[in-house]
Amino acid sequence: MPYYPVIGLEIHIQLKTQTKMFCGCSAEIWPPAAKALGGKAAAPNTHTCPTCLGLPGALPTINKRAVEQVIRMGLALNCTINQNSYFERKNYFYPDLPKGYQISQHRKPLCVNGQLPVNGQIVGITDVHLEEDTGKSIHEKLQPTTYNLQPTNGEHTLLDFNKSGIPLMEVVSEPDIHSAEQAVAYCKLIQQIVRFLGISDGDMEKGQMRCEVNVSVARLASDIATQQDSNSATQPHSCTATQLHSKLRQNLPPTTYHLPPYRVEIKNLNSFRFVQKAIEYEIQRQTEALENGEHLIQETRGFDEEKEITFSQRSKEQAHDYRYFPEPDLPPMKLSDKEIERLRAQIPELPHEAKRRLVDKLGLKPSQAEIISREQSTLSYFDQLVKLNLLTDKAANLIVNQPELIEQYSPQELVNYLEKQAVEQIGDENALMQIARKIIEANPKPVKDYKSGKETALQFLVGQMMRETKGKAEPQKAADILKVVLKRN
Amino acid sequence: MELTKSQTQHIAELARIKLTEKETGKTQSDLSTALKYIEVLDELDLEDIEPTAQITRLSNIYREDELKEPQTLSQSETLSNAPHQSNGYFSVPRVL
Repeated sequence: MPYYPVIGLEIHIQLKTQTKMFCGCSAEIWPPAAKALGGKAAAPNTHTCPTCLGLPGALPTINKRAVEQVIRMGLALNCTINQNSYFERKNYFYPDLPKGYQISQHRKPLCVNGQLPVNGQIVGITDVHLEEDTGKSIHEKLQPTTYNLQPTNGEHTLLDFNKSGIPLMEVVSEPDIHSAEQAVAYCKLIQQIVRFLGISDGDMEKGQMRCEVNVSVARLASDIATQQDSNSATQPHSCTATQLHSKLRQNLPPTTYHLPPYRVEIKNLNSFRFVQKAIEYEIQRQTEALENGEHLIQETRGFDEEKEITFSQRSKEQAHDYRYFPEPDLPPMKLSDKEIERLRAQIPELPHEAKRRLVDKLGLKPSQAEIISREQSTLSYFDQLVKLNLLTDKAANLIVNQPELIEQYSPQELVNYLEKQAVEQIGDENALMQIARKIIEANPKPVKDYKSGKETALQFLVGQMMRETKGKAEPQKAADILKVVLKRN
Repeated sequence: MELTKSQTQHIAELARIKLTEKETGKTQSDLSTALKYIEVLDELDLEDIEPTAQITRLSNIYREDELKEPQTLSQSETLSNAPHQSNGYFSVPRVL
């Protein structure tokens, strides 16, 4: 009995701002100077103030740039902008959340109802909203000697609030994804888009982009109908499994499936590989469980990066009750049409749009377009080469096959270099022509043999050419030029 | 509205407050009284009124994203009230 994977993603992305979301602390917790020295983060609890430490009486203020960045992301994902949006408090207790609530959005997120084409298929975007990041927890069993004071026997959680309050954007997708590959393609495209928009570096190793996946497996309506038929009457029926598998291979949604009554959430996936592995593992685990007649429950699972398996963390019985309510310390945001249009005008051509243009308008192969549109710098380099009248295919091949040239030269320098190379080549050809004529004159016998059909005589002449050029000429090229001159001779 | 006992226990759990059997009963009755007190609001006809998230009548109060005079504290100031600390970190009982 085949099952159909139903997958939705929640992606958290730290925004690239100078200051934090609700206070003036520096959000640059990976100092550029330290980056050169091996990417070390700032010392713990050095980018902290009464607001992001949740001290009593401290009041939040809204970082304008972060709001604008989320709106631009929403527009890039074809969302509707909520012109009356506001922040809410999401209440829960955890040591990395010092206020006891996270300022987030729930009823009126900034952006809703978007969509994004991923490999030719539409993925619905439920919403894009803005919130604040939490602090960082380190769960370690340390030697008691490293402690000044200890609440328990060496079993500690250490807290660093540098990232507490960094603007965090959450992109929530509809459950429109049906394979691990498509989920990874979606994540990669989201990462490219935030980079094109310049709103985040999306560096997963630094936790600037974190993925959560929701996975369940569905039965197909056609299968359920077929089974009911066979139950009611013992007549033979044609199985749709073959059709289904062919659809799955093409990644096409089957006509109908029932959304499963449960879903499994896997948190904190910090690489594309883990997204892929976690989904593959879950699809297999859930399919086997259902085939064994087990009942699957709504739960949160973690991912073991070493064993590449998921494990249960929290079931629905202990599910959170966040008691959202509007943040009384922050006035609502009212966004005018004019403001939204101003932000829309700041959106550059996006990677998936560029890819389509390169294929449809410039005739590149999809594989070339894929590589060129991956990064904005590469795309702009390509466009400049084309503007400098380099043939599109030549420009594409250079970028795909000779990245070392791209790194070495500016587009104008590269075009100059290519022209010089072409001129030199012509010069070489002229010189070879002259040598060929000289050799033909000096060797009438082999020339006569060649003309009377003795192909091997050409080898002798090529040998003479090589001797004359002290081995610098390419044998194939020498032979080609000899043939041309012999024909005219 | 009368709160049930299990609702009362749920609220206590969310607030991380441990209640004895006796305290649960008293809290259940206290919270029910408080709820009943504000039930008077149900008498208002709010049919055509948009829900209000804020009563200051302010909107679009933003801070520019510029590093100027941040209230940032030093590490030692940050940790000065911490009951437990270690190497620049706050230290709490292990939670995972």
